[in-house]
Amino acid sequence: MRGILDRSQPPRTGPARPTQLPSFESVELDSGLTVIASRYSRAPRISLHLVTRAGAIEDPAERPGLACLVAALLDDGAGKRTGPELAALVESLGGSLSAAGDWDAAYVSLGLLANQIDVGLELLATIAQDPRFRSDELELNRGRRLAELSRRHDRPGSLADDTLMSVLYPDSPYATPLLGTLASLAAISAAEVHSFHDGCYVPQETILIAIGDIDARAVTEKTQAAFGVWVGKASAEMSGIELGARDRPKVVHLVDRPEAAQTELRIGAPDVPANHQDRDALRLLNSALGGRFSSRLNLNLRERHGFTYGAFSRFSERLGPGPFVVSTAVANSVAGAATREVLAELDRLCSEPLSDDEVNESRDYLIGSFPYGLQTIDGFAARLNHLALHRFPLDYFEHYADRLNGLTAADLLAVAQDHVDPQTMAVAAVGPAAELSPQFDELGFEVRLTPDQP
Amino acid sequence: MHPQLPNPPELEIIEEQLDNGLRVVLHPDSTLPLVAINLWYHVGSMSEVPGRTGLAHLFEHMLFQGSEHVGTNDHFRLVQQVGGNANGSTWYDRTNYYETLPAGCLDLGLWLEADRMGYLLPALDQKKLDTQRQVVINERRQRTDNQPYGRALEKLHQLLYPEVHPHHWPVIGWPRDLEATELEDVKEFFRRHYGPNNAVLTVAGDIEPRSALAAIDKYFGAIPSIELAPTIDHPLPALGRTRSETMMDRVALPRLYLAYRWPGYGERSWSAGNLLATILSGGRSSPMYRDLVHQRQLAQEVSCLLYPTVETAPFLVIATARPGVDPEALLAEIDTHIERAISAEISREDFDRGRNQLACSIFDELQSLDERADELSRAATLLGSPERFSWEIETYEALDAEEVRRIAAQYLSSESRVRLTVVPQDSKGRA
Repeated sequence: MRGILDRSQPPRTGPARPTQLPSFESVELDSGLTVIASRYSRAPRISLHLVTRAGAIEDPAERPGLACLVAALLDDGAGKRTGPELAALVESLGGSLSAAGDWDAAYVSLGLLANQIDVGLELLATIAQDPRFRSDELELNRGRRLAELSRRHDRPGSLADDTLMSVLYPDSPYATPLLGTLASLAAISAAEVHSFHDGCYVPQETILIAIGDIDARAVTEKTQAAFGVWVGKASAEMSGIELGARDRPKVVHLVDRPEAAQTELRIGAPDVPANHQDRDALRLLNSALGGRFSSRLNLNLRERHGFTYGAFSRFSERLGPGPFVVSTAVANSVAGAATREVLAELDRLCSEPLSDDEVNESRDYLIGSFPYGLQTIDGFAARLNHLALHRFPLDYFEHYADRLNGLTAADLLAVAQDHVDPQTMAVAAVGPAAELSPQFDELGFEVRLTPDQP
Repeated sequence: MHPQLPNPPELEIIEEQLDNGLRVVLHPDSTLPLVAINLWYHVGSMSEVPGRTGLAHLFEHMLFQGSEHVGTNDHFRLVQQVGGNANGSTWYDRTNYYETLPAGCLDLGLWLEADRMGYLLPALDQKKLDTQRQVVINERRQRTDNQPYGRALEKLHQLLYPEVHPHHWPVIGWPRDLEATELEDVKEFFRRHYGPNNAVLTVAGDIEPRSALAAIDKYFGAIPSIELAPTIDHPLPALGRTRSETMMDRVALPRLYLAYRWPGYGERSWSAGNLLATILSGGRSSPMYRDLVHQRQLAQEVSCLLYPTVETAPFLVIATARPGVDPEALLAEIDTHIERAISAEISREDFDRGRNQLACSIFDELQSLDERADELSRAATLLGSPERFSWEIETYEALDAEEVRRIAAQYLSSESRVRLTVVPQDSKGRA
């Protein structure tokens, strides 16, 4: 017979078992190429990534979109193989091959069955050292990306993101989407593609990550053999992003979509690079503010008011000073009220310390969910990539929990005051101007219409 | 060049059933200090009737609003404060709820799931319903109404299935039905679908099976089974003809949708359809991509896909035209590919590639504990036993090119399909 169970209190939870990051080896080869390899197997698969710090932050001022176009072309022909031949080789083995860029880097990612490591390393070595940049592939990519850019404009969420970034980072690579602009995409020449590659793709700025049922040491040796003595054509000097003074009147940058079923809202400001000393505190602060379902913003806008399906915030981690952004999509009739609530939450974050419970919850979430991302080899690869890309020490994650445990509510309040200033936040909105303008007027915002053009 | 695929991973699976009918699946794996709890209720939008569409999904939202012993916002809070993740999702033929927690928090997850299975009604009230109704209406706006091409799939389903068939309406429901849903509808839905005898509970990860089972029995054992709602029969008269429609949207590029009815998930023909979709358009070396996207550049993208739904599964072909390409011309080229697939032999290369891609994507999915738990619940709920989680891979290995072609010829008839074209509107809303 079962006794009567007292259900009135949550069961006590057992002690958290510390998560060991799977062991890995990191070696810098003579060429300057960094190789990170780990025997970590969750399936008969391997995950290979070639990462070069040649992201959009390196775009020349007049050529936004160049870095990501070059990145996308990397797997469209290398050595003796054309793009379709590379794809056919990988896909016939059940694998996948992709190349793309983001703000920080270019990534060639290759997933294969475990017994195909030699094929994989040989392919990546060829792609690193001998990409073809054929003119037909350049034109094909240009056309696809021009179409993609006009389609980006179809999505109200992307349009709101782009509008905010153009306001936060005038005259910088962060001002335009990764794809670039219609004008710059149309103007990029084959010579510019080659010269960007020559200037940025050097072994010293490149990381090779290999994870799976492999022998880490053997992989390093094989990489040495496959990559030979790769010498870059230049020694890359990383670009930086200069920020202007932060002095913003209360302005909402509004894209008028008279027929929109909902308003996409973005509220934010430029913040600091990923490796900033406050990074752990910012992660913890965001966990309290808008990084989780139970964070303040979502509980307020969704669960208390029913304004939205979700409200979230994020301090982007980039090589340069990435943005802090609050994102939500709300019913048109409450866009003003939702903006007011977001700003009030930011005010509260900067004016009173988090409660002890909130600090504990937000921190324990970050610590407890850490192993969640290690369930897949690609998830583990992403962690290692973050380490290497931002040049964190190799034991960075070993002390992660300790560092978070050392942060107090007072520390977090000071960091909030340093990084979040509700008075200078920029606001972008995409929705019906006729319905939105009076709401923003009432909040004391000047409404500035942004042209609805790609 | 075409290596023998490795075998699917061998998972340790233990199957049990409590006296109240709850089916329990245990899968111990201590690689990481995590435990995944995954609960499938055998109910979804297939259990709805016209006038109350969206009820299954709205109900899923209500299940996160607390129960007799769990406060309104406590479900996510209690899970996240120990570092766990939780969510749920609603589909045509099932609704799932899941938590991934640090090992040592198994009891917390079981207590939460048991409380809302057994003690939900005292916590339901009108205010919670009204708030979640607004959340869901905003979810619908965000995912459907305010997205380019957002209403196209709904339109396609309306054309492909008769009005009384649940595939006719979207899982998220029609706004007017969401507005009309009353608290009593929600309560009745709970009473007729949410009981231990309509659920599969999978617990995977860093567990000791015997004590996990004891904990499950401790929290769920006393919940009485329910009288299940009778299964609704959904007769499906043949489509018998081609239906075509054009709709306008605020988009830069026209998009073409073709839809066919296919046998449901769990049948060998379904696997053949999924394999065919991958053969035709999976990856950059697939014939449709090579020809339409890469060589002739008629399409910005093209994909074939088959829904994993049980009673009937829509097979879709979706192609977005490149700027300046007439959707009619694109349609003619797609039809050539389909015609070839059903009349000519599928090449050895394409067949092997498709099969290898599908197998590898399943290997990839099975890496994570929460996906494994979900696959085990799926197999137990839809295929009768968790041991059948490898059913898909096994059928891909059993099929040959000729059988796939024969099945394709049976269901991909240009005489019996739906075609929808989305065209850009100008600034005044005209096509």
